[in-house]
Amino acid sequence: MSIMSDLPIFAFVGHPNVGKTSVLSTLAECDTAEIDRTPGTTKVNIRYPLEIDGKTLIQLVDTPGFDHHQDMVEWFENNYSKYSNPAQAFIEEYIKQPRYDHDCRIMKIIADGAIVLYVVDDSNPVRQADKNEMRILSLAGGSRMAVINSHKESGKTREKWLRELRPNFSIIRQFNAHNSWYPERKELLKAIREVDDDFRQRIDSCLQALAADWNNRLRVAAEAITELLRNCLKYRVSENIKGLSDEAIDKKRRELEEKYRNEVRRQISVTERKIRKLFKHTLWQKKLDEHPVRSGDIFAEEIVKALGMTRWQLTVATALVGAAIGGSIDAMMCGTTFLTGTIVGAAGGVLTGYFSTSTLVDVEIPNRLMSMILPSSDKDIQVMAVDNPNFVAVILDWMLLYCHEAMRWSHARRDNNEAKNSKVGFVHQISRQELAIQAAFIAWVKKGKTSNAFPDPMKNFKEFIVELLKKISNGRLLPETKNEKSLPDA
Amino acid sequence: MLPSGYCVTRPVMKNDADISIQWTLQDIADYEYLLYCDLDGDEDYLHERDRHIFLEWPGKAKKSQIFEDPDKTALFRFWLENRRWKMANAEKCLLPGPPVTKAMGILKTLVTLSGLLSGFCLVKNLLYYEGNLPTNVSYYFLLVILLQVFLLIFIVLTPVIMRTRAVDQLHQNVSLIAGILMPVFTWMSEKAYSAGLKLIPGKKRMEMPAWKDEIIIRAPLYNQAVRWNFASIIQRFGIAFNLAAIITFSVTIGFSDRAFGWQSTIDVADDTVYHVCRNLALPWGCFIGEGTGYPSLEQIEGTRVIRSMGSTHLSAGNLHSWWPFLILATAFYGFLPRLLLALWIRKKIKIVFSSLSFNDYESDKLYRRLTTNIVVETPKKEEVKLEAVTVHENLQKAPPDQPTESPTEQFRDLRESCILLTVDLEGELDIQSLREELTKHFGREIQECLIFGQSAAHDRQLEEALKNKKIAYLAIIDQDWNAPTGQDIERIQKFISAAGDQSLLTILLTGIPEDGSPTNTDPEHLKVWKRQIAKLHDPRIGVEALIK
Repeated sequence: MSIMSDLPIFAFVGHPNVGKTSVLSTLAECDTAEIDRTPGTTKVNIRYPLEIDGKTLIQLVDTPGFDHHQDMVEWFENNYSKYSNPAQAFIEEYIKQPRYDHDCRIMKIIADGAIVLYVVDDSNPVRQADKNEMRILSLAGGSRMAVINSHKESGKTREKWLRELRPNFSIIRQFNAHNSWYPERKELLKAIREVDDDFRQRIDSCLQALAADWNNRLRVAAEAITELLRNCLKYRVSENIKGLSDEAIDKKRRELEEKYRNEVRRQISVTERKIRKLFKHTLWQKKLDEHPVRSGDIFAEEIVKALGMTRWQLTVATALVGAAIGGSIDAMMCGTTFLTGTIVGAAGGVLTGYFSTSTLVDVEIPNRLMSMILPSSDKDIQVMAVDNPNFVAVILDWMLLYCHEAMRWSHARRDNNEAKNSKVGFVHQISRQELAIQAAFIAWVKKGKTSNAFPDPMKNFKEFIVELLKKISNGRLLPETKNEKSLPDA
Repeated sequence: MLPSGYCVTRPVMKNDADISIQWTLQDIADYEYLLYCDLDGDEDYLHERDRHIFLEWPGKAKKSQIFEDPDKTALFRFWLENRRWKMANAEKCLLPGPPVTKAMGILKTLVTLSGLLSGFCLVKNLLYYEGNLPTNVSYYFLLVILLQVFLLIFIVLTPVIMRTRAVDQLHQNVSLIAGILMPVFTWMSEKAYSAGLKLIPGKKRMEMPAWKDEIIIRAPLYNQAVRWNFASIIQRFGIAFNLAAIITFSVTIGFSDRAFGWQSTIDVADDTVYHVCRNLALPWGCFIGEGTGYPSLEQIEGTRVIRSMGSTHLSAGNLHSWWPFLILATAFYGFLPRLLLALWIRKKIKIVFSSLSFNDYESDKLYRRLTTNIVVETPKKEEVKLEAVTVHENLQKAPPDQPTESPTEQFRDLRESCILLTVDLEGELDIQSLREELTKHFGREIQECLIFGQSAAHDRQLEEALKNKKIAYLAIIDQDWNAPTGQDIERIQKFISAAGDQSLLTILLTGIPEDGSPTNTDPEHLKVWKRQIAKLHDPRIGVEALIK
């Protein structure tokens, strides 16, 4: 009966205000779609072609809500048996009447052979309008499934909905448009695949492409974070303080510290922008700025304490960095030092880690005595990242938290509830082996040292972040909550 | 995004499928340069560009839309060809590959020339002949043959020695020296780098530290390739040196009559020299035997120069016996091993280049960009025109949220009142108690409660029924979440016009009823209803919450 093209078209239809656009926004990761409580916000069919390498594999279509379900059901009941394509016949009869514009648009996409995804909101009881719409769809013919957009507790009403939907739809799936992300999107697409066997292969290709795309995003995010950390660790500011008084030196030191912090903040902001773009968010940043941890300054003491490593982790990590650097001296001395470098390095690391403060910035001021003895010695004051691995841990935690939110923030959401989120970080949960990867990365960036265990520390560190992001993505790594970690007040 | 009309890939050639996966030093130089250029590029742009290149690659094994496990070396080679083409044709950029190849060519030529020159000079000097005494072959034998034999043994044994524990100690000793020397070399190279930096103009100088960092990071990836390339250059020197030695020797004996003898102050027995010569001549001994291919014991005795005896005891025939042995020894222990080694290194270079793993950080990024699909889900508004002007759109010109004053107070004196209850609430609300409540609330008795919304036909009948009554007051009770659609609005308009010009209509909204009673209205839903009804510009219609 339908004028089926090669391109599978999936039309999201339903009563106004049930969340068709929300479901589609989440499914197509588009947060620019207009979503409002006022019915009739969607006035025309909006197509969301899913293009893979420039080729459209499927098309999702957002439609306006049914405007005249009562007139339509009456027409269909009287006429459906007279026409091979009743939807087309309906359009021909009502196209001239502007008030049926929305209804004609819905019928147009059905007449063109689209597979119908009937969206309902099960937080409200079933109405006559809904029954009419289900009747219209069954009389209009074609493949269809029901999508229950459930964003509230709806125990009783859901049962009623299911009773009404079952006779009309062989496939019924739940999908919370406001709380769904990649895994749920995948599940919904899998369900859509079942509606029509003809399109199974196409949707399988889409699923594969989406999986590859998601994996790619995690890798790009990991690369962005790795490069951010490398840049921040390498970055240093310096200025000559020859002939300056103590007060002037102190002022200069504060200025340089602020300059350093601003540059790190800027680099973080650039990386966040990349990640935001990667996960296709355009409206979301200001919501996250109200997060209790993320709303603070990354250099603030309470943030450093809330994120980053525990004292134990810090001690192990600094010991590993110290051992790596000391070990490279041993290697240079061909073992004649009997591992003294490694032992001294590790011991120094343990002390540094255990008694470290929560500052992330280190300042090197030239020694006055040395300047007097050796007039040619360095006269520059230098500000840089602390050798302490907590610098990397805090920024990493900060960025992981950002990625976690970016991954999970539904594109249909326009609310602001995330400020109540009590999640703080991930780095507390990383193992000793992972600390060693981090230590190797720091030793490589700061001192240019590599080891047999980590021949390409940048790649090793990136892969470590990819694994963390994968764990976050599949729910195996969750951020700790407020109870588990001290959290500053929002 | 790529600019429109941007040609990303070079035209696909017929022989693209056969693009050699063989890499050369020139390719590596270009590849590294192109990766460096992409370091700060926009991810979306790079992904799109590289993915286009991948899709043009004839070597991809397609399984539906997904391409599986492409051969990285061949894929990168194809990428490199495309990027080169693009840089050369569209962007008119110079790549470092050709200068690197040119520099290597010049280096090879210089090394070959120096090999030829040193071979010629050394042999010319070693074959110096005054005429009174025969040319002493001992120097030639030591410097040209024996030294090369030892070198050959060293080269053959090195891989064997490297596998034994003994070499670890040796390596450590070397490392100890390296440990001392390395800081000196580092210091010197730093100084040279700083001095060189001052010679580079502005912008380039600013870029140099970043380049240096990249080179330091990436140089170990090509250690093997560079090492074998230099080994190949050394063999080139060896071949040229030995070739020059053989040619010089041959020309010398061809165009002059030379006498060759040997001498030693140490008491070396003649048969020892004979045994050494015979053993060295083993490779060609079975083809060119004793007396021709190598000197016999008699010839060796006969060519030994003894200072006190002068040249009187030397027989003229024996004095010509050494040159075939010396030329053959040079060929077999100098020229041929170098030639074989050069061929082997050539093969080794090919193996090293074809087994480049490209497993580093930046190559990994490139591989990801090439092999990951570009997924785009950009919404597109429908272009099909369906006489798109609707009643709603016309009405939307009214200002939103226009406060609608409830007309209840103005029309209290009219007689009949009626409730219209949506079919969805039938059975959900206790109608009797609702009537009582509303009677109290509006100060007038509610005479009737009619149900609407079952069907279009039923609503038409209801409309007719309303026309026949003198309704002063209509109350539509509806669900707050059920925001009014076009049909609802039209129905409201029909009901109020059927009831007459003097009628008032209040839409009373309830939340989801509980135990037969209405519940509080969601203020947001109420706002939506008010906004929609305000668009009708009818002062007779008001919207209120059923429960205040």
